[in-house]
Amino acid sequence: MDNHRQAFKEEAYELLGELETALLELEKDSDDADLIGRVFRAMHTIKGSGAMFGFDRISMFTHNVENVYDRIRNGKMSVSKHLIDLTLSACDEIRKMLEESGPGTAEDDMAADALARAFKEMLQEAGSAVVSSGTLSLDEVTASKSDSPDVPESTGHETTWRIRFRPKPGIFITGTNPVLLLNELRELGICNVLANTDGIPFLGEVDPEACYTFWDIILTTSQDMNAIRDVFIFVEDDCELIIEKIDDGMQDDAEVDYKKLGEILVERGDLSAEKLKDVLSAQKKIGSALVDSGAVSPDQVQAALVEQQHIRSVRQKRQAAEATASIRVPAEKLDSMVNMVGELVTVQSRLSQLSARFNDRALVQVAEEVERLTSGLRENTMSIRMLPIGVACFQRFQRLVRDLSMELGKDIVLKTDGAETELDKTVIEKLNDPLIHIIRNSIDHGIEMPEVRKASGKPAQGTVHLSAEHSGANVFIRVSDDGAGLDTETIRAKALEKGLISSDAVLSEKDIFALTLAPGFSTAKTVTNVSGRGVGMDVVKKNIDALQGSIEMESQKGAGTTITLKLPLTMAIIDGLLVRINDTHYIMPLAAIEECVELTREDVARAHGKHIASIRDEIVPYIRLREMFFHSGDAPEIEQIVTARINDTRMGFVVDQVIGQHQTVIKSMSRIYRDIEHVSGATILGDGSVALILDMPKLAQRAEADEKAQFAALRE
Amino acid sequence: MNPFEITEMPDHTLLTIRGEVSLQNAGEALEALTSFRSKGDRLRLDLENVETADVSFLQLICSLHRTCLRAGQNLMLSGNMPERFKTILESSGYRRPRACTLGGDNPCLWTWRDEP
Amino acid sequence: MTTKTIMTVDDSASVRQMVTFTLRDAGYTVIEACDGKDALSKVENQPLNMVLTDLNMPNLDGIGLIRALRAHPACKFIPIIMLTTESQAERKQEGKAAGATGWIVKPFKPEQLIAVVKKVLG
Repeated sequence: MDNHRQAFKEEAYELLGELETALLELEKDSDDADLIGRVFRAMHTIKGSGAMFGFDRISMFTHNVENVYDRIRNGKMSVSKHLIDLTLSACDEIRKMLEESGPGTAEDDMAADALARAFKEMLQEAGSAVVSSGTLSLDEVTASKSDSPDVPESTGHETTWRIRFRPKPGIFITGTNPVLLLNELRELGICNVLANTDGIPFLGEVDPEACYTFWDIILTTSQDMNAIRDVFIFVEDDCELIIEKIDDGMQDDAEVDYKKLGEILVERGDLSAEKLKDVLSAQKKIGSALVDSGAVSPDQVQAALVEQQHIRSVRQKRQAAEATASIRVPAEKLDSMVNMVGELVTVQSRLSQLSARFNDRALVQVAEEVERLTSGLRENTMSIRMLPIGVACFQRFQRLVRDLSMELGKDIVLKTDGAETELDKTVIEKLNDPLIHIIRNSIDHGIEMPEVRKASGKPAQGTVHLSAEHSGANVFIRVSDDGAGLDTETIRAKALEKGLISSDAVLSEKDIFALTLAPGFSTAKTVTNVSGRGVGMDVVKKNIDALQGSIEMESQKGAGTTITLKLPLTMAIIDGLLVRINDTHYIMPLAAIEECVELTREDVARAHGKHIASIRDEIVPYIRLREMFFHSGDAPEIEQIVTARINDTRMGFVVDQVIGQHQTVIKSMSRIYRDIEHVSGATILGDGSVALILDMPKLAQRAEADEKAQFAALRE
Repeated sequence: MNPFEITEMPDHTLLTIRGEVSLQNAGEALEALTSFRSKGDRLRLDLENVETADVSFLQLICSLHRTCLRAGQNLMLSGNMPERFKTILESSGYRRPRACTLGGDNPCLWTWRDEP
Repeated sequence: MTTKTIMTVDDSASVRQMVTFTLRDAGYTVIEACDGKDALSKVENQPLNMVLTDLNMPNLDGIGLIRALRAHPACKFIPIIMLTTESQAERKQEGKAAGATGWIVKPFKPEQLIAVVKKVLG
């Protein structure tokens, strides 16, 4: 393009030189039509080519000058000394703009504006009729750039159009090839074209250069009517063009059957309704009956038949597409499939172990292949179980919020975000009750009565905001309200009363909020129908724990409360890290794990008995799982620390050996083990033995509590 | 090279058309077709060597065919429809399942069955 | 397949250069002419598949050229595209009446030029 800009500059300088010569001659002989024509054309070229190569200012400026000379050329104005002077200054101005070839200074603009105004005034004096076309803004210049066939916008769904294109007989002499237009239509979608040859005369009367053919076209496309019109843009005035929509692609359960043949012909204007009635009464096959009666030509019948077939096939395809796009399957079939995949994962890991033991190359190869396939199958199965939380869960809360707030005389609206977030079906199912409880709490305890809200400067209408978002292998679900917020003092007093804390306990805000999750805690002053039926937040916590999730509360007195649930995407199969202490295996959920490093006896000695290690220059406290689970015997020379991020702090877990990543099928444990903390489930390993799945946040909490107890004991 | 060559055969007259037949030589084409028709009652058309043809040419052949039918002359293609010509007929919308008005019960030149 | 030959007729050398450059790049053979008279003198030299012409030109303007080309047996049916400016709606009509196939509005971008050429030349 720069190349072309340079060429234009050279050309413009040349034209300006010529212009000056012509103007000076014109001053002597102001009637010379040839000179006037030269001046006009030079201005016209500077304007037109200037716009081509991005010299918009020059193009705009020259437009007015060109217009004046156009009028002179047509004898509507005459040349004067004043005009020659002005035009010469205009030449200087254009030259200046060429040199700058960018936005000019304000001063330049003023000079150019003054000149442009002078030319405009001249046009106005000469007659106002043309002034409208004599003012051209930069907007118009740029807008006109799009005035040529562009790539048309797609409308999204497919529409079927009936097009009749009947060119005038003289179309060929304008260099138009109708077949190219038909090809352009074919590029827009599925297209059926039938030429109607009824108009072709006998050899003696035929003009070989005239067009006697017209075309009936049925087009199914996602493009709109304008895209179709654009195809015919050059021949608009040289043809009869009818475009009608005959199927909008929207009826989902539309019957495949389409209009009757006679109906189509009447619609197309090929047949009158009365004629159709006459022929129908004859009770013959409609198509041939119509042709026999001479009411329509065979070509017209064929075109109508093409339309019928086209629409039928389009509708059939659409129905087929809809039928195969999704299938409904009972949820229990999916559940049993997940179970089977779980078994398969277990068997696969046994196969891997065996193949490693026999060390047979062929066997190893098969085992690896099976592992790859199993992993793919597992991912696929899990994704089938994923549902958008909005449809499966959020939607039903609208009604809940409406009913509850009416009951309580409050004005509350529920807003949701991230309804499209996908989550395992079982997780969503188990999430329903806790969420109902949290929302109830917000409505009952959180959001105040309208009068109270107004008095404290809040809008009378309260808002409960429900949102979901993905973050790694987790989903965060937040319920926030703009209500009264939690009152730390009230909670504290209540906890004291219930004997949950001692009177001298030093508690952070977070600790106090966490108290509301403790069993038997309820702060509602009166027991209402809505919440406080003895089922408190502790139940919510239990449910969330069962889902391997966690709860966090934030609140500001007077401003509102936010409860965040952090949940795993799925709970049927997780990626775990297999570790070993003595002969016992454990699984740690991989999602929270950061890294594994070695821990030698020297490292331990260096810490003077404290359970801390320096990892990458950071002091990390650790838990010795060997001690926690009372494994006998001595630890090996070199142990391993698995570090994980729990509640924003790094924590290490010391094991004998890290074995590796493991696809873990979670098996729930018998009720007998229900109260065991620190363990969230179990899995079966390849050799048939059981490994416990560690609940890392619980372990961390326990370690923290132990440390505090130790510290307290030391102080005493 | 003359794109229109008329050959008198023992039992019919053959018109061989070669190369490009379009508006550019439509006048010539009309002349050739008119002369071809005057040669006899059994007329055969060889389109095997047509490179390109436009709508104007297709119209002329239709015109020839219906003129022949009216006069009771027999006009047919010699041999099968060449593939190249099938493409031309399809893109111009001239391929048809049945004869046109003037064709009546006679086979249309522009009809063929697709190979299964 | 032999390349198609397009003639560009314009008194603006920079526009001619841009058109020529764009079309050659797209695989066409291009012949340049600086006005209608020059164009007519070059018509005999080789068969043309298409003509792109400006309207305002000295000696013989675009409308005159289109009429002359349509009267010429070799150019009677070839596509002729005129280059117009936005203020020339009447000229567009005049050009169509003279036998122009279509138009392209100045200023235009190279890809718009190619789109129009493809539209009428296939």
